[in-house]
Amino acid sequence: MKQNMRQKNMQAYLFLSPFLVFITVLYILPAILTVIMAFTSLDSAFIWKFNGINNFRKILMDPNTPIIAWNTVKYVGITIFLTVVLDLFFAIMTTYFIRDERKGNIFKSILMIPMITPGVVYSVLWLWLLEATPNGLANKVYMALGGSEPLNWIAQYPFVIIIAATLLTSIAYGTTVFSSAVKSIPENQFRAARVDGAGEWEIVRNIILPNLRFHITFIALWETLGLLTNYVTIMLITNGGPGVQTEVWALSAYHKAFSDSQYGYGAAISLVLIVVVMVLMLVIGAVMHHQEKSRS
Amino acid sequence: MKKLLSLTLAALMAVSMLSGCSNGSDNSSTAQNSGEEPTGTITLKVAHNMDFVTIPDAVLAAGERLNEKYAAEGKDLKIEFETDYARIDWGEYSNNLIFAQKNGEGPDIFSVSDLSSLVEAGMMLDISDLMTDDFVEGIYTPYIVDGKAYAMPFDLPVRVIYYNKAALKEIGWTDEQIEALPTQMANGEFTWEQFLDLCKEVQDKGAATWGLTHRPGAGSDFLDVFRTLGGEYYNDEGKLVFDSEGLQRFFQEIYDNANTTKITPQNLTQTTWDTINTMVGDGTAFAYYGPLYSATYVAGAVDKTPEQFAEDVGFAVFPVSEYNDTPFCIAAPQGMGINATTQYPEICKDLFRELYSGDSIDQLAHHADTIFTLSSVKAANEMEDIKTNPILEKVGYMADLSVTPPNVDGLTTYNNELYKQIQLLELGQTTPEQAVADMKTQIEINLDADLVEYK
Repeated sequence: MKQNMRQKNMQAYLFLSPFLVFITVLYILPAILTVIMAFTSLDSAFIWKFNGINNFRKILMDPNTPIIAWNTVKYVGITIFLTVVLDLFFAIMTTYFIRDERKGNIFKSILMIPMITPGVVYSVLWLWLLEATPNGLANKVYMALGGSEPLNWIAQYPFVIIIAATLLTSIAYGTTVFSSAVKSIPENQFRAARVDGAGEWEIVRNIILPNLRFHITFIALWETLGLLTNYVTIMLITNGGPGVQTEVWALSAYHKAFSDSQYGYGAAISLVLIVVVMVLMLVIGAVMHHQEKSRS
Repeated sequence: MKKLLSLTLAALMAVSMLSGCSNGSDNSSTAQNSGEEPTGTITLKVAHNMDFVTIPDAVLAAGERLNEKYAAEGKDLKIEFETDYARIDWGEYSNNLIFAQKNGEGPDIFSVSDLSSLVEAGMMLDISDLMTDDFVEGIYTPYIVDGKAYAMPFDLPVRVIYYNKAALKEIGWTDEQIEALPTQMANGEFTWEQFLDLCKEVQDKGAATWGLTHRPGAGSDFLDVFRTLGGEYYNDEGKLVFDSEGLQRFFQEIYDNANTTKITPQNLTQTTWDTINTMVGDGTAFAYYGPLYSATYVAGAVDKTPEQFAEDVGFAVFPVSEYNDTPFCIAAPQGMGINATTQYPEICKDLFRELYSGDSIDQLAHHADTIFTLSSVKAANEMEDIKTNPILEKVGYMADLSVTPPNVDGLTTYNNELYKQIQLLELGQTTPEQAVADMKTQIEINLDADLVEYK
């Protein structure tokens, strides 16, 4: 019996080993290199010179650091809040209220379009839409509605724009997860509630939301990880500007490393982010563990 | 932990050193840097980045000519080329060069950007012996590091002021006055302050929507206005200078142009290149400052031939101002270098010699003619291609007023920080005083103290 188990384990390890090798080569080794790099003054000449904790001192000395940290908190916090609220809204609307599955799926497919559009194409569409000249689509509409001068949308509302652009790409995933969760709620719970005279809002509040609480936690944490490390949309639409108004932590690491060729400094900024992400992963692990425990 | 770090680093260094030692092109000949005369067919790798492929094409054409010469001399030697042309960010291109070098696959001849890093990485061959009188005086300056020349300039692209002739006519200038403007700006009779007034006048009289425009991203074009206002960004030793007073004046002017006189659109930094090129090409903007070779893009944006474009747009150098008494235009040549570890350093140098002093000078003239730039080689500037180019024929005099700045370490960071402040100033989101203070803080944090002179 024991030997059988051991054999099964061996087979599982054998199947997993290619992925472990890939992860080691593509993630763990670069992560180790990033950690080492964070303590060097590596620049575009690619000569490794250790400079102690100088890069971390630079992070602390930079007056932009608190602004960038706050931007990151704002960007992630607001986007996550709106993502979860909209995910819930769309999931409940398309799964609970619209009983025709086909129609619900059509709507969910439309929501997926921003997510499956390549990031560069998607961002260029936003730039074209919001171009500050009268040629921009938003300005054409604005001026057709009576606006006298074209608006400089990106400069005037940079934060709103990057949140809106990110939000559209985030909605589909959470909506799909929440929809499946709503579907898995036993129908008799709804029937019992209706027999007890519960209205639709009460059903949403007292049956659907409590059943979705772990899914909500999972999506919130999962999206947080994605938002903390993803900067492509911001880079392509505002590039962190005007000034540093939309510069977030991950974008700042990119700028230092690849615009200023300060690879060591960029790695130090990344390292701080890696620590934050690792803490969040531990939280996710704890939440999942708690979820399993509650279910069992 | 310390031991682990040391081991990892040692392994990394060993790998990169080992891989760096094996550079060399695939060939069926004997190697030259071993001291032997190469024979047979040799393959040289040529790498280039961005649009102007007439630069590496000139090298390839020079190779053909050398092959003909070798054949005529009965020499058993034939040069073949392997080309790698990219269209990526210059920083990424330089990184790729260094990575390829570390893997022993560095090109033999390549277009150069971020020279200091390439020199520091040990990739550049000293070609000081190619710095001859055949070249326009001072054109090698950006390619000199510690007194040695590391790349050959292939052209002399100057950065100038573009102005729309039709707009001047519309406000009542005669053809003679319009044609005389570049000369007046070049000889000190028409100042920068007068030019700004002219931009305002053209705009106020409705001959153009905007008076003065510029690029929509970080770059060296802004340094020309900075210099016009007496600003200094490098000293005699080629060290980066942080000139607070000059920056204050420059930032004040940037702020005023967008917010007070409003000759520059406030939203210019949120505008795309296409839109700006169209604005300059169709006369929506009266004036623009940038490289002369941008004329290819501007003319293209409004579907004009070079002849039509030269009819509509005039070019002038940066004139004298209250703070600067010498008219100038900045020359920023594009160049190619030779790999320090190439197996055929002398053949690569022969290719360059063929280009600046052999029959292949015509290739440099052709390149200059194609991208609307003067040539780095005196003889090429005398050739028909350049003499009859509708744009170049009018700007030949600029070579005498051109200034070629040295290779300045840290200039990319300086330009990036400068642009961030320009963006905020034009949007009216900061003050000139605050912009100087913020930029100084960032320069102090991001550049080592020994790289910058503060004044």
